[in-house]
Amino acid sequence: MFQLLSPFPLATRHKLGVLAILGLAISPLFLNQITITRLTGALFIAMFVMSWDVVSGYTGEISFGHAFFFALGGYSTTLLGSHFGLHPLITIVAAVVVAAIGGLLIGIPALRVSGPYLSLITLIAPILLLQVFILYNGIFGGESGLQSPDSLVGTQDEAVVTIAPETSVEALAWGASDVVRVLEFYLALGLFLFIMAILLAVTRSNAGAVFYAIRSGEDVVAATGKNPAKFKIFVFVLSAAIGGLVGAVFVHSRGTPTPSALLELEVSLLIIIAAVIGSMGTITGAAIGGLFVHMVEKSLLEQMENSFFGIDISFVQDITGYQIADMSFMLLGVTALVIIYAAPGGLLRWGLSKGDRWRERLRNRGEKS
Amino acid sequence: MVEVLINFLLNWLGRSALYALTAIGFTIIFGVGGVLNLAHGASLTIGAFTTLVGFQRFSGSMGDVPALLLGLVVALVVVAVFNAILYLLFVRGLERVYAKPEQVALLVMIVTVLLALVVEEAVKLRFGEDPQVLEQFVGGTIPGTNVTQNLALGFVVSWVLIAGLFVFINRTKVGKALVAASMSRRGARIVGVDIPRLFLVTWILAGVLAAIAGVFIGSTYSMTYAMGRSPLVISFAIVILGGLGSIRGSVIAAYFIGLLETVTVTFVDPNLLGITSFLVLVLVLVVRPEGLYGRELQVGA
Repeated sequence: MFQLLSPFPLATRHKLGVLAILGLAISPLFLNQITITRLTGALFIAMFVMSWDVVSGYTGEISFGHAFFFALGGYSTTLLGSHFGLHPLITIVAAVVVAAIGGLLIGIPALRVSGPYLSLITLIAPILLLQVFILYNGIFGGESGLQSPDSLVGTQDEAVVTIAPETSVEALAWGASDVVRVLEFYLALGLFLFIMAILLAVTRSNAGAVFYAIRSGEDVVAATGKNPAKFKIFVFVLSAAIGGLVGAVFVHSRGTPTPSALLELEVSLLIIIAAVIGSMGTITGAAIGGLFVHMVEKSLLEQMENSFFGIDISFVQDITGYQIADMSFMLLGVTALVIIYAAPGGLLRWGLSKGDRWRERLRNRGEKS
Repeated sequence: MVEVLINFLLNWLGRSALYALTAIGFTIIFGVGGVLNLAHGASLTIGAFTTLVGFQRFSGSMGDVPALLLGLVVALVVVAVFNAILYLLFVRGLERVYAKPEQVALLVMIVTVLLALVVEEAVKLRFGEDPQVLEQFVGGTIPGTNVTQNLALGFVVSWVLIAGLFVFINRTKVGKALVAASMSRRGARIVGVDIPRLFLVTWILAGVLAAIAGVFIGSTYSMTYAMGRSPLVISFAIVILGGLGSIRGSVIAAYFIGLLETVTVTFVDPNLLGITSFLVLVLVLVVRPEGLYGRELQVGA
């Protein structure tokens, strides 16, 4: 029972987690502006992945279209702002409600169907939404999307928190735009920690145990007198609301309300790849996977002179004849495939079991000497 | 008026025939193997693009039609190998690594969707995002209509293959083993059916049928790296409407979905392609999850 509620009973793991968060929190002091912006993007992707993980990683109802919720959030806040001139904080809350209703719409069929059938509904929901966006492109901007709404932090007067253009931090040689980048990073980090706290609390509670049990068989859950459909609807609405919240804040920050950023199949698949690499059904693993995938993808896409984290990769182009940047998404897909077979359960679980074995060996050696 | 009606009818029959060809393989794997092959659309893409590459390679040294046929043969071999690897290496591999069957079923979906992604990205790398055109087997339209003779040929090929499949399933030993395995895997094993080999045959058969559909889709409409997506979703819709593993149900459902799509495209708005059938699909899922024809692999009347 204890293991069900907490996949990380060992304190070392918690210490490592706290260290990692502290490391993230002070990282802007050491990183250049490009990397800070990348990290901000990575935090958003990690949040998207966590919202997917709570429903798909735990209950085993794989969602192939979680971008549906991101887009509901991102587009709602943008449209409410541009059509009614509402304050971003109000439109973000409204966007969360819209996304939650979207979650309810997906969750209700879950009363009748599950497994592949439910996956199908999640697969077609974003396709339908994209069709609607294209059909009414006067409102939704079609394939090219909408203009970004007012920023939460920015140098413009419209931003919620305006940074005066003459602001600077001399010690770090930051100008106003650098300050904005750093504040956006902390905004993302704050939201990331908030969402992680909520999801850890939910999944480590009794409800989390029920989600996990749904995966093994709904009959088991029903036999204990609990209604599995009720739990599934709850977790879909929760996941959708969080996905919508992240999507909404995303477009008020660095993101754009466009299909390619929020809605297309590639977005949903990237989320799944990240969760598979990190570890499905752990929340923390999903977050790690999200950070990893975004950093790797951006490094491959924006690589300078064929160097990837300092390693010379020009040989890839010599052998294949293609730019590695064009292969980034494919390489991530291959990585996820390799991990499914080579490190079953994902990198986090793999790392944890390796760590345990290592500790044990250390302990044994200590006893011998 | 009559012309519009004839055009509509022929477009409907042609489109639906290709849908049926795609969906049948998907339904056999689902009905017999119990797993969802989300890389089914990739077989279609590989089939079409390998044929294109083969055609470009061979058309210099021979006529267009022989080059196209030779390309098709190569493509069918490639797709058969792709599906054999898919089953033997990836699906069976999951069974070796993961103990729980429900975990395997879940990961088969993820693995196949990732493989579909890898195939799409590879095609995108080689051909870019612009639509490609595949040479037609027969040029021109049916006199007095806007339907290409190529699509008509696709219709004929589809029905020949479906008829062949019925004969295969009803008359051959492997076919009967297929029906047995779809009814009860354990029962089939007891009477001596080699289940893994049977599944291998199923996957290869499904892939080859999809590849043929892909070639006709590529030569009649157009082909891009993402050409496998909507046939996959439509197959899914057809399978749900027709019932799991029911070939007869799938064929009927293919023509029904084809009808909805053709009505939408012809009379309402081409941009709405897919929406009506998806809505019907969601309705069926909620109201009658077992589909029109129940669960088992049904053959004949």
